[in-house]
Amino acid sequence: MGKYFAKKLVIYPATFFVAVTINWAVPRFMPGDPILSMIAQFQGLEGGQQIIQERFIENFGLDQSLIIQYFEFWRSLFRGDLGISLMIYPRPVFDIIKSSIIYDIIIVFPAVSLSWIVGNKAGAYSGFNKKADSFVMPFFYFLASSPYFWFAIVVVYVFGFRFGVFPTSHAYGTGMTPGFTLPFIINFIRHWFLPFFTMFLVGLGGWAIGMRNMIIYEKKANYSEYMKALGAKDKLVRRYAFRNGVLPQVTGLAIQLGTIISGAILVQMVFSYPGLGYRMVQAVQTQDFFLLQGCFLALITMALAANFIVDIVYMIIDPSIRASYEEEG
Amino acid sequence: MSFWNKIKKNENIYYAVTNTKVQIGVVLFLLILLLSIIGPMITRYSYTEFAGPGYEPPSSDYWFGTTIQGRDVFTQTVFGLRSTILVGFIGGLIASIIGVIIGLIAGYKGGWLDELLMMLTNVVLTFPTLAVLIIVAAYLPYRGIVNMAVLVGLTVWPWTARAVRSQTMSLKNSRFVDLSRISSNHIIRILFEDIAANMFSYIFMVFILQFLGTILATVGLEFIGLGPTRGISLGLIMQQAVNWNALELGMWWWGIIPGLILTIMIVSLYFINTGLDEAFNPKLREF
Amino acid sequence: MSEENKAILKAEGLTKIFSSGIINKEYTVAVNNASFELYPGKVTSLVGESGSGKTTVGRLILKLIEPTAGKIFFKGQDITDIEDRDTKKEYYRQIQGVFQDPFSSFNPLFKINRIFDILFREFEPETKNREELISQSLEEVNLNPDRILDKYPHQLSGGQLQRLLIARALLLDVDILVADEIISMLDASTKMGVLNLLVDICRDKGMAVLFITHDLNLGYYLSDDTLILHEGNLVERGATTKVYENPYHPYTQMLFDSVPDIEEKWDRSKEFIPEQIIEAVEEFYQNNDEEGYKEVEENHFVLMSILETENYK
Repeated sequence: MGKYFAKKLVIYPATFFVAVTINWAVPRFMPGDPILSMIAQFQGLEGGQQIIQERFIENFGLDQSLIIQYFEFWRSLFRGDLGISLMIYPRPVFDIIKSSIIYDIIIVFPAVSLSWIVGNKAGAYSGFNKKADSFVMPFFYFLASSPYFWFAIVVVYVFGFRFGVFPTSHAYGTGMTPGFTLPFIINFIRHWFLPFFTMFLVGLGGWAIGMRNMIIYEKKANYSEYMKALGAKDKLVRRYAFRNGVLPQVTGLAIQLGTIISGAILVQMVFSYPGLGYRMVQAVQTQDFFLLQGCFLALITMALAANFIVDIVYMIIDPSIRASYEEEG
Repeated sequence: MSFWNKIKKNENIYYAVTNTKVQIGVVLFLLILLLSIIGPMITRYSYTEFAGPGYEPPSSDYWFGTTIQGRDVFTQTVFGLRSTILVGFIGGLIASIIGVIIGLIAGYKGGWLDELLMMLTNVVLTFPTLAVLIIVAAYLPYRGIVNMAVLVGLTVWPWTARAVRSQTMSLKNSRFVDLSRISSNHIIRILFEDIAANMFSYIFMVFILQFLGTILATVGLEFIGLGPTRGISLGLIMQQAVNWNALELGMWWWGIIPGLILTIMIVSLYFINTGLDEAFNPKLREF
Repeated sequence: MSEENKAILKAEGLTKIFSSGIINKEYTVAVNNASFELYPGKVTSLVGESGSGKTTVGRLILKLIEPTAGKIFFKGQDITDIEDRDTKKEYYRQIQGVFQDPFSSFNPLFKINRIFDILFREFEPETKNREELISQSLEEVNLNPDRILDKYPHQLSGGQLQRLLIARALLLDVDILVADEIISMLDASTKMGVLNLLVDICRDKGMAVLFITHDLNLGYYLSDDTLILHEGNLVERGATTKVYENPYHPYTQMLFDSVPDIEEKWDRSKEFIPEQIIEAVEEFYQNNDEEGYKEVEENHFVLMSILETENYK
């Protein structure tokens, strides 16, 4: 038991460590010294330039050795100090992240859960039903192959402009004041729907294909044929096949999380939906260095947290985890 | 006997070639590939010139319509296809090579080396690829096709590594590998001649998936504006469409058609892959 | 002892333990404290049922896996811990193996002459007359070089492939051959041919053969010495005639009793349930006070109680 957990527990801090290191290292070791050129950009800023330069030197520890800079970076991280945004000066990056992360969660979490559940069911149905299969499969393939942002574009065009049913940008309408009032909530949901819908549909395709293939494989398995020969009801056979097919789909979920979050970034771009992804890209475009780093770390942390949850779910579903590889004792 | 004769004798090839999914997929893919090769040659315009009036929907003059400024969308699309396919291919190649080598070593050697490599693989796998790509690409002083391909290739290899590793672990227990070992065959030869060669079809399938993955990652980067610094690319076309509010103005052809071509290409690759899976895996064949 | 009687290979306390699983580690003792010797020019049969550990013993001797405990001596030298490729190569120059399934012993993508090419490349790269030597070896195993060399494994029969693998060992002129169930997957008509070939070359070349099998009759037919393996323990060993005529260990007795005689008809009372065997064996170990091996007659040893496995947890 210990060894299994130990391995899992090491991966998360290790990944985080690598992420922070990448974050720290990339700007410093890129050819052309981006930091200096960034500072140079602010030569023209009156008053602010002084503060920003100081901030830069402080946060980057440019006057100290590399090793100390590295440790300083970690120290500020633990203090929750991720720097100050240059774009939305002088708001602290940590603040921006706090207010943006909610938008990621409310889109990604429901979309992923629902697309996984519905996709698996749809895929299973297709796997058991030869006739439905040839109609439905191309549709799923199409969904799964669509780049997230392109599908978002299609959705925006069809539902947003052609049929004008839903708004196509931002989290809520301009002029609306946030609060728990009914009009605001309705407006919020309307703005939420299209991004959610996009992520839901694209994800659905992938899970459906995966589950369908699993079911086909399970149908050929010895236990399936045997049960049928014994006269077991179709429903029972299907239930067993489904259960066996679900397990690898959970693993698949863990593997896909990185891709899903990447997709979420792109979808947010199309809808100008103010989540971390959107902020991150804005940061790139405005060369808001601190915000970029902060968002990156926040996204990685989200990915790790999601992975962790999936791992726990997997362990609950499959208590008999016996990775059967033989060790030379 | 030559390599090709060896292939001809293979029953797997027969099943692969006669599979419907593979046939459809290959045809679709070749069509699009053809488009990317011939398109730029037959188009009347260049992708930067102002070919005509803006806002034009598809017509016989402008097959995919024009952008807001009046550039020909078809020309942009076919040139962009070239760029995207190239980055995807090179990136997929790099990712496959890295993945195969790591998978072979981890699977064959086992022990602490395996644990280490797998930990590395898992770490890279957990990262949202696009986030990493953004952060690195943002600082590259120059983004060309090659260094983009390398960058993308370096982030997507874990999938191959895992797949190759599990195949390696099962193949290494084969009797003929034992025989190679007691013949003192060099480990590199064992890895390539005995193990990798016997999962060639598998590696090929995995390469297709990597190719597809790198294309998607590349297009995503392009859409954000971190594509190749010069030239045109599919993602860039769509980014411009969105930035200029093409959809609001009803110019669906600008934003949707380039993406549609890309999606069809990816669908074709998935078809080929699924078809090959059926062909090579007898259990799936009769469905 | 005269020169010819000196053991060419000596296994001392060979033990192999496999561990599997991550959460609840499970240990399987595949081989427990096996000690035996192989002599030049003699066939030693290693008899056991499936799961007895006999293949593991073969793989240990061939150094395809490493022992958890115990030692292996070859021509007096301790070869248990050799790891580097060159030293192992020297070992493989003098010992080779033939396995159970002829078809899986060949890489299906290459022609069969590959197995010879690898030998020359690794062991004797300077050889100029390769074809001649290969043809010679093939003829020794009654194969026609012209009709065989250019073929792929799937184009040949199991018997031909096994002969090829024996020819391969002959080419190296090895001192020891480990033959693991080499005829169990062949047709009845081809079995005898391959077996007789094995015995011939053993006598002619003075090779030591470790013949691993589950077939008792074969064991008797072929071998000079017999080793009986039960659940990883070497329970009885000695000259074949003595072990077969006078089985002492309860397991050996049951084993011999359970083989239908070609002249006997079906008889229910001959049936043994596995539990009976386990009970009888345990009783045997408990009821005698002796430790380790007892020499019940000259060149006939019986295990009187299970030897303790080294602490591995």
